[in-house]
Amino acid sequence: MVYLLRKAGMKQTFSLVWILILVTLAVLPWLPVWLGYAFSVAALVILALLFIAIIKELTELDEKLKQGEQVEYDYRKLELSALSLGKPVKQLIDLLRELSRQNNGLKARMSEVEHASLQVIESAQQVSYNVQAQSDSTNSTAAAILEMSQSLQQVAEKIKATFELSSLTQQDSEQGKVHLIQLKKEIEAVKQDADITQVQMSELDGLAESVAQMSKTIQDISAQTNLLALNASIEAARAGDLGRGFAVVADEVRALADRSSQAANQITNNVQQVLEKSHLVNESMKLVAERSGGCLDTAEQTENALNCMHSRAQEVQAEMQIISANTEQQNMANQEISEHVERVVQGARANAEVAEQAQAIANHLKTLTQNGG
Amino acid sequence: MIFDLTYISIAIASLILGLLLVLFIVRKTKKVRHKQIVGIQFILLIRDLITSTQKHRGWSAAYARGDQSVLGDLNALKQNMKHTSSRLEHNFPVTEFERWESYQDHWGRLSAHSEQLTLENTVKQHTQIVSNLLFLLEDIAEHYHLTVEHLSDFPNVGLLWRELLHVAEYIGQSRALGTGIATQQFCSSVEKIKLGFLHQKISEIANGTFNQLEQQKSKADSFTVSQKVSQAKQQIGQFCQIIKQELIDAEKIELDSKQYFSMATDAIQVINDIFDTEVNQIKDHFSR
Repeated sequence: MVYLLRKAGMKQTFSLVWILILVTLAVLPWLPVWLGYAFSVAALVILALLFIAIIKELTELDEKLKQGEQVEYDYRKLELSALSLGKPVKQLIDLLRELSRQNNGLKARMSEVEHASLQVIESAQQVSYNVQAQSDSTNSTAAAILEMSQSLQQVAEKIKATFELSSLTQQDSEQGKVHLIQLKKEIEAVKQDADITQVQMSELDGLAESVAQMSKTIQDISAQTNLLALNASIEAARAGDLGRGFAVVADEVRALADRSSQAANQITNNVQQVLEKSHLVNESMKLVAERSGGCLDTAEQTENALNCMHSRAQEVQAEMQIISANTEQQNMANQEISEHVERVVQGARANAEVAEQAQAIANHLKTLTQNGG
Repeated sequence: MIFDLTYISIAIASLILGLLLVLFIVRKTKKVRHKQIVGIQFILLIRDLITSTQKHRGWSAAYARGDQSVLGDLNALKQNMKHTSSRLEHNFPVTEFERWESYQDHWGRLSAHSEQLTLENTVKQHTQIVSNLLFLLEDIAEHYHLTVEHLSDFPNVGLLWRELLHVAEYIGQSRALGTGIATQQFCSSVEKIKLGFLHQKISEIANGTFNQLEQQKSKADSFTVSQKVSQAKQQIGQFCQIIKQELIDAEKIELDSKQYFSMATDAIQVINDIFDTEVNQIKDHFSR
């Protein structure tokens, strides 16, 4: 009966059964009673078989629908159109078909979402890796800046020390200048003293020459005295014994004249030597005066050099002040950069966390879509 | 005598009933076969319409990218599609299907304004229409008893109306998307996701379909179909590899757009060849 139902169709099979029943009822009055009963029983049996067939088809439909999950809700695999259950099953197939398509569409969307979430995971991992690398680099930069800042601090300290040394040098050069001025004054005093000594030596020369003149006069006097004593001796000899006493005096006078002459000679010699020495002293004093002049020139040059040094030291100090100020500014800028870099590091850390969260969300999304699929 | 008449009448009634039963069975079988033959013609026309819509999508995308030269082809294709629609409405009861009304409505609006749409929108609209036509084709196949319940000699007939055409459609979508990417030599992250999804779907559905076609061969299956399936497997495998290596994973895209378009078209062609061969085998089966 199931075969008949499927091959001929439910409508046709029912038509045939009704025809059979109608024919039986029409011919019943002319039939023997037993045959009438027989036809009625046969008709009832056929009807019962038909209902049993329909129930079988319904049972099969129920079983096939239960298989839905096994065939992934692909209604084609259920082969429902093979069942002969008329319009209701056809409508059910239509409904199943649409549901199956919607299911496939949703699956495709889920699959696309899963695929997209995988891409998001990859992107998040890449971002996380990049952010980590950025964070590492920034940390290194921060450390380098810190080191640079410390180094700059040392440079600033050194500049300060150098500035102090430069100030001390300036003070020393000022003190040297004062000493040099004093030295110059003293050299000038020496020169003046040398000039005075030279003048006095000239005066001394004059006096020595007058002494030499006086000594010559004494020598002349001594020669005349000697001549007189000789004349006296001659006269005493002439006088004989009377002149003997006189002759002794004359000899004594002659001896005195000789001694005076010798003393005068010695004075002349000594004066000559004094003059020579005085000349030498005079020459030396001239040299002292000249050298004092040279010393003064050198002192002036030294003073100029010291002045120059002083002004240069002032310039160096000014430059040092500028460098110190710049270094201070640079140090402050470095500190600021360091703070910014620290903020960048914090931002990078936050980004890494966000990327990790994105990755976790994408993973969750993937899990959801997998469960949903 | 009455007894004899009774038996004779019973015999005649039983004979009439038996004949009626046989008549019903034969009539229904013939009706089903006739519907199947009509259904095949119907499906081939719908398939033509699908192919034309896919072409229209490609040319509209090219036009949206600024290629004015395709305007003539687009207009000619519109006329061709109009003619196919007219044939469908005159020769087949296509208007009985809800999806046809939906197609007519959507296509009517799209064809009037397709030149003004953006690239993304035109591709989206065409893809929706193709999807609707694919479902229509499947509905027709079921309505005309072109299912495995009525064609037990063709255990893979269901694959023809759904999976095989879907693989061709996914390849068509990746052709439209990939040609644009190859032309611009740049693939955005969203395009990568779309291409990656299409690559995954093509691989999954094509492998599943080809394996089933190889495992459950129809009685009428010839060596040609097996050969075509093997060729299609190889060609689609290569095409998928190109998508992955040259478009998705490539740091710099150097693939020639025309070469890619040609590869995709060849891949669609091998699918269409399998479809045509299987349909011809069904036709031969009906003519026996």
